[in-house]
Amino acid sequence: MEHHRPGQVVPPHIVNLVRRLPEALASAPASSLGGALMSAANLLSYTAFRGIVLGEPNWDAVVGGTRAGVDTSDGPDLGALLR
Amino acid sequence: MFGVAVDDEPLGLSADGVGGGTAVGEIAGSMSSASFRVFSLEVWRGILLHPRIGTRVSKGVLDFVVSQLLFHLPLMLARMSPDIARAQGNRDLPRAPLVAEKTVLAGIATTTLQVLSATLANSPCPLARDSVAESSQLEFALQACLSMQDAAMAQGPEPASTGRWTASQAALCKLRMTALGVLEQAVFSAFRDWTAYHAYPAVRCGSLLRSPHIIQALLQLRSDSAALSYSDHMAMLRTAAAGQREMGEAKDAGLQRIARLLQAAVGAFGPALDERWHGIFAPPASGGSGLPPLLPLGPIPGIPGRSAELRSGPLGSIDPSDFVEFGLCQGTVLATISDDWVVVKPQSDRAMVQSKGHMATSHPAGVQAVRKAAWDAAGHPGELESYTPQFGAMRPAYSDVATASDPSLSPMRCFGHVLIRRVEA
Repeated sequence: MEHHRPGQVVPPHIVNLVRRLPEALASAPASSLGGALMSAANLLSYTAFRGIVLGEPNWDAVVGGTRAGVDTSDGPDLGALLR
Repeated sequence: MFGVAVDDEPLGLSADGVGGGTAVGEIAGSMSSASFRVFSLEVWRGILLHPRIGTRVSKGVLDFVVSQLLFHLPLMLARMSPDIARAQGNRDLPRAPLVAEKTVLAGIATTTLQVLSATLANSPCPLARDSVAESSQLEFALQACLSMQDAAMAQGPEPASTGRWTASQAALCKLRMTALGVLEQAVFSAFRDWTAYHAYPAVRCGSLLRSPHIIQALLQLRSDSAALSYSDHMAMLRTAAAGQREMGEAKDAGLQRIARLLQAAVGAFGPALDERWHGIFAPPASGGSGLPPLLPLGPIPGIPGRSAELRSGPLGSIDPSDFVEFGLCQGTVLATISDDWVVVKPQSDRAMVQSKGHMATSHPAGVQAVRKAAWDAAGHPGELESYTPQFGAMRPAYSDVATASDPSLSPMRCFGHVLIRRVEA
C-alpha cells in the first residue's frame, strides 16, 4: 500500500523517461506509433494516478516494463523509441 | 491505500492540488512525487496536443489514450463521496476520510479535466477531440463532478471554519467549474464541427445532454448557485472586496454556462442533435467562432419536426415527480427547466417515442374534444384556445444504454430523458 511521505523524490531517470515521451512518439515511424502510444498511455496512467487505485510506485518495474513494451501486443515499440 | 497519517503531501500532490512545476529542493533532474504527478498529466496534455502524434494513429488508439486518462476520474470521486461510490457500484473502494486527502483528489481530478479541456479546445487532431467528446466515460465523469455535494468534503470533526475546510470547498468548486467548461466544450464542439462538416458524426457529442443525470446536475447547480461561488483563489480572497467581485464573476459565468447548456438541450441553438445527424435540417447560421451566441433566458422556440398527439395527461402545471403521459411516452417528471419545458424520465419498458422525423398527430380533433369537454365541465367561459403539443425525444444516454436490460436499441425506444415543451395557453 502506498503512502507518499513528504519529500518523496522520483528518480531523475524516471522523470527523464516521461519527459522524453512526446518527442519520442512524434519521431516514431507510423508503423509502430500506435503501439507505442498505447504503451505511453499505460505508463502515464501509472505515473499520474498511482496510489489512487493502483498500488505503490515501483520505479524499477516502470523502467523494465517500458523497455519491454508495457502491456502492448505490438512489441517493444516504446522501449525501442526511448533507448 | 491511503496513509493513515495526514502529512503535508498526501497522495504525493501538493496541497493546492494543481501546483505543478518543480518543488523547492528538487535537484539533478529528480522531482517530488507531488510534482511528478502533475508533470505526468502535463506530458499527457503534450501528447494529445502534438501535431505529429494524434494525426498519425487510428481513432481506436486515441480512444484508448483518452480512456486511460478518464478511467481514474470517477474512482477518485468515488473515494471522496460515498454517494458517488454507491451510484457507481464501487462499494468496496477505500474511502479518503480526511479533508486534506479529498482536497488533493479534487485537485488531481481538476487537472485531469483540464487536460481534456485543452484537447477539446486546441488539439490539431479532430479524432483526438472526438475521442474525448464521444467517450462514454466522460458522461459518468462529468455527471459525478457536477453532482458532488459540498457535504462530501466534510470530515466528521472538521469544523467548517478551518482553512482546510475552506480550501476543500474551493477545490470542489473549481472541479465543478472545470467540469462545466468541459461539458460546454464537448457539446458545442459538436455544433461547430457539424457546421463545418455536414456529414461529421458530431451527434454523439450531444449525447451528454441526453443524460438525465447531467441535466439533473445542471438544474441542481442552477438552483444552488452558491456551489459556483468559489474560484481558484477564493480561500484567500473571500473576505476582500476583490474576492467578493471574483466570487460574483465566477458564479455569473457558471450560471451562463448552465443556461446555455440547458438551452442547447432543448434545441435552442438549432435542430436537435439527432436530426443533425440525419441531415434533416439545414446547418444553423453561425459566425465567427462558429459557436452559437448566448441567448437570454426566456421562451424557447419549438423544435421543428417534433410533434405528437397528447392523448392524456395533465394540462395544467407539471411538477417534479408527477407521472405524465404524452402520446406514447409515459414517465416521471424529473425537473422543470423553464415555464415551457420539463424533463421526463420515461418508463423504460413502456416509453416508445419517435426520435426523428414527424410523428403524425392523427387524433388532434379527438384530443381537442376531450379538452373542450373538460373546459366546459369546469365552467370556464369563452372558447378554449387551440394548442400544439410538442415533445422532443432524445436519443439514449450512454449510461442508459449500458445499463438497459434490453440492449437492442430501436429508434422508437427511448432510454434517455424526454424534454417536453408545454404550449398550453
